[in-house]
Amino acid sequence: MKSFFRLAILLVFISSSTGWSQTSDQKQPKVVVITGTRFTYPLVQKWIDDYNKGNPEVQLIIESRGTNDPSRYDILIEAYEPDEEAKKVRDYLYIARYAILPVANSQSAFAKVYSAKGLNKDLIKQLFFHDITSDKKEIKTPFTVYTRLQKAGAPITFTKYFGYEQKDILGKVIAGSDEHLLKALLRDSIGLSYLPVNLIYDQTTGKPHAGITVLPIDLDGNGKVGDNEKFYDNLSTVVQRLEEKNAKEIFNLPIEYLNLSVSTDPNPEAIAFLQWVIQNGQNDLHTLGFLKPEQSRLGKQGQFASQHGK
Amino acid sequence: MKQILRFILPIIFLSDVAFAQGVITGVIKSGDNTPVPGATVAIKGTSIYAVADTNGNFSIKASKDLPFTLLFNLVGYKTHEVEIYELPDAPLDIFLIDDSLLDEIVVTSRRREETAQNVPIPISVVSGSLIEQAGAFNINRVKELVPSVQLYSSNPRNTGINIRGVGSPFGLTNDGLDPGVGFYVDGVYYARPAAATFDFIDIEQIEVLRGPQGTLFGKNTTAGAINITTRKAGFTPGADFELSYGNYGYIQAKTSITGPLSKKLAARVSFSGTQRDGVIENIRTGKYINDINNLGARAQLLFEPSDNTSIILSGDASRQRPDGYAQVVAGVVQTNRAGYRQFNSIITDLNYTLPSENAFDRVIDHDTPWQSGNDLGGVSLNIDQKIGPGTLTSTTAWRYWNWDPSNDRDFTGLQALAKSQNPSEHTNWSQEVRYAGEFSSRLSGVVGLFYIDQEVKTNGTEESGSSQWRFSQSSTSALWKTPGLFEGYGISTKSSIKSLSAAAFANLDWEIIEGLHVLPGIRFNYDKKDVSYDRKTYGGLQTTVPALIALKNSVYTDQFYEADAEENNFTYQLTASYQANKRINTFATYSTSYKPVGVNVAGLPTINGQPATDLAVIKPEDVKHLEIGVKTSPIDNFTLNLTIHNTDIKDYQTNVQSPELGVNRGYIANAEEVNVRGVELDANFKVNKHFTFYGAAAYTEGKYVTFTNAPLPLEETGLTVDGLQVSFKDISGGDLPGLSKWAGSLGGEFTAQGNFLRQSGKFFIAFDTYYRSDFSSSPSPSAYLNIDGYALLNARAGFRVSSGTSISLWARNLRDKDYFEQLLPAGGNAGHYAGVLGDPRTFGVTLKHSF
Repeated sequence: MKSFFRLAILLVFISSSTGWSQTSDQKQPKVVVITGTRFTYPLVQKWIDDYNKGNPEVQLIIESRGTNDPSRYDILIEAYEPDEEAKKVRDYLYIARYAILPVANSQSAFAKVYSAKGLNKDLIKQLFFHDITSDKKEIKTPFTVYTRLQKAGAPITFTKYFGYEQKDILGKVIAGSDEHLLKALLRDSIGLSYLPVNLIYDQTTGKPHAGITVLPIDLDGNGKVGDNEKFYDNLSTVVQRLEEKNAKEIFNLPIEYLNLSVSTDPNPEAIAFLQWVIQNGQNDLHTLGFLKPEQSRLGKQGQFASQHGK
Repeated sequence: MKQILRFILPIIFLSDVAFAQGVITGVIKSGDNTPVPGATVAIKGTSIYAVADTNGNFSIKASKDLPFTLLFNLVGYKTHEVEIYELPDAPLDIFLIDDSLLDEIVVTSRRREETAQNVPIPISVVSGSLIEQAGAFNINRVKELVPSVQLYSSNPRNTGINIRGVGSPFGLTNDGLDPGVGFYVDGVYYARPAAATFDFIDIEQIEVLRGPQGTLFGKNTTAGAINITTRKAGFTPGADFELSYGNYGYIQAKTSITGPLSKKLAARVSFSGTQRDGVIENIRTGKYINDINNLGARAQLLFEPSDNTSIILSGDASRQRPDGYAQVVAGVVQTNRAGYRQFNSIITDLNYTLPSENAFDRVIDHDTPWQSGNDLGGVSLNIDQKIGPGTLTSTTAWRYWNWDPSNDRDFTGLQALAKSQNPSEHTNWSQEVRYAGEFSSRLSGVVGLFYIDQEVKTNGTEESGSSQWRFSQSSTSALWKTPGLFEGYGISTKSSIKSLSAAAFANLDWEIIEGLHVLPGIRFNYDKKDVSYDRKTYGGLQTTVPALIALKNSVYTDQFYEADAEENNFTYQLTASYQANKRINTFATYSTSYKPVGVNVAGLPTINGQPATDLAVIKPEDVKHLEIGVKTSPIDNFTLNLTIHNTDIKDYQTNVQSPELGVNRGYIANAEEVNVRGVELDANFKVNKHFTFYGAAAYTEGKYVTFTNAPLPLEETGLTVDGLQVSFKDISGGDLPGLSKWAGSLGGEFTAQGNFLRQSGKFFIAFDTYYRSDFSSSPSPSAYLNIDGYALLNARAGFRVSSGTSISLWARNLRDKDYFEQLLPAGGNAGHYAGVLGDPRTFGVTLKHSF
């Protein structure tokens, strides 16, 4: 029955994408296909919902990224800085930042011990990379590090910040998205991992998801975690504390930009959407767990806007 | 419509993902980004696997519900796991980590997983793989890898495990004493030291904890504990088949199969069988004895109803049926008895000559069969339930031991002792409940209760033969020659001992400041023992002639006694440890310990014709122990640990071999004070991916500080002073038996990656050596019963894979060194003594197939 259902769907799809769809050309809607880093989808979907209120004729679709060929998509969302070659063929809009925090399964003794002690740089290196040059002491509470297998924004940002590559993380590896990393962490009572802030917090309550404990960090880089560095109970506090500091004053906590890019021959509807995002896209950043861009990058938004006709 | 379908299509794909019918492809690389060929890729919990091609590429069908786990295995690399939460769109890049780094050894002796270097206890770890490769298939062979351990076994009953020279009385076992070295398998306390003689089945790891134990788990032990972990049932199907052939007709077969029965239930079934021809020729029967004839099986069910609960039901049964444990006359001592009572006079009168005067000719002519029927087994239920910050564990066990021996205790072809057999049946229940966890960021600990109820019943026979009159003759009276006076004259003994031990224990680990820990521990014990001993004479010449009756009574008498003892005891320990950094961990421990009250259950010596009932119960041992250690990792691939220890024992429980035949396994007594002290060094060094070395050295001094009423050594039997018989001797200052001042082991292995039988794996060549200096083999220091130091060399070479067929050629005692493991006076102290011979050179080949 299931196979029959799939076959039927497939036939419908083939017919829709060939003859039947061609008969409807006169009413073809304006379509923008978006793909990229999955943990940003809630933010992008919120933008889409708000944009569609004023532009109901435009179909903005978030699609799973099934290929590495960016030309298939109108807008590409990525969570790490593109290389120079990529910048030559695409235009980038830096509209938000995200932070990555170390998290542990709340059931673990590790969570209890290190939510009180916190983590400094040496300890983070020792935990995630078994860095023998950074060890201060033996870690006595059991833990299992979880990380992602495929190259992706959050793990690249996390490892690069500490001077490593993604493959240097020593632990259990999952093939899946950042959301799957969260699932894996919740399944292991001694799990330890790293996640973007927006995946850690329940946006309705502002508290960390049940079962997840955020481990405080030596944010001022003095080697110790003081009480004033333990502020992870509430999403709004986290965002406020991270945003109020200059990036250079924040230690041991990777913060990176989200970028939205289009090709040099972009879909006009995509550009219209991004222009709207430049104007309105920062309203929901905090509630959805993202940070606003720094002032220096805000100027580049204007550059993008003017470059694409506004 | 097109847009709607664009939404629907991912859903279809998602449904595909949910049933995971796709194919996962990828490439396996090493850390330097070069492809790794030949690695196995398997879906955990299934029998689906694939092998990477010469370019490291793999392709495997994902036919399991998401999420599932892919396992990547290749010898020379650490096993790599990838949990698949969604089927990847692109080929995976898998990086394997070279295993040239020295692995951190994880131990569970403190009932939590931690690295050995981190535990403030001197601990030696022997892995299951080393046990397999070194052919060390029982504890007796493992002792060669851990020089602080001594094991003496003249037969399974009379087996004693010591650590640093103390733990069990040297020589013969008395059921009325508790072992000073705890023997645990998967958390279950094995009360009988005979367990040490059985073949290992599916061993994961052996941990040897040195020094008194008792505040963390189980039974209180004064000398240490041997903590054996077996391989658990797994949800990933797997099997090992192993077959060995060697000289002396050696055949050993081992099988272990594991896999899931359902999503939450897994099983493991294991079997081991060993046969070897005898290595000692009995020219009387034409048979070669001291053979090996062992069978063992173990079954385990693992039920994991949730992430927080794990239940293991386990059962095992092992049996041994060797014509075994014969001892060979190793020498004759001139005693202080009259000339006609000397061994050589006795055998000359009986027209007998020993078949050889060199024990290492391995020839005997014993006329009483050597038999060692030995059955051991039990069932256990272990429940681990995570509650709050810790785990509540319950371990319930029932175990049995049946012992059915026959010995020729005169060690000759003469019918002095025609029978000597004391079959025993032992059963015990034990229950342990403990809670271990991390209570705060700086406080962890364990608290628990332990209970064991044991009963040993012995129904023994010892019977004289036609030559007994001459061995027992203690005067020149012609009555000794009375025909048939002693023939068939013997004793039938029924004895039993019931013992109960209950305890509450607790141990905390408090990190006062970063790196500085204080670990206080306490234990409260309650012990109760009831013993009943009933010995009756039978047979021989039935006579009413008082003089003849007196002669018979001088050999055997009736004896009956009952005794009981009850003791409470409180012990404690305090450890301070400081871990300045990962590379250095220092600790100091002061502990008190105690071995429960002992009861004599093998007959009492007679004084003035009456049993010495004041020896029926002996005092508990009182132990005070100090230990200072440092565990270091000077470089990443090297560990070097040093321990200095001192133990003072008051009322040391020791075994006294009596010249009286009726006291057939000696009696036990207290030595006033004993001291053991020494230094131990352990090292592991992985030079590079090819060379690994490990070594351990122990210097140990063990002395009777005060023992004023010790038994006479064999050569002083019959000593008189001013015409009065002397029975005891002050041996204060004398060396403890069974303890070499120097002992050490050294091993190394060279490995190289290669292909064999179309498999990618590792070729290896390895050796291990064991040395111990000379030691006394007599409870009281003797001029004769001393064993020279010796060194043993074992070697092996072959090819191994983690999955597939491995082959190894091995040799034990490669230099064919002749050595004694133990020397024992013959019953009656006529002057001859026998030796437990070490095995000659053995060699063979082992084939193992794993998947």
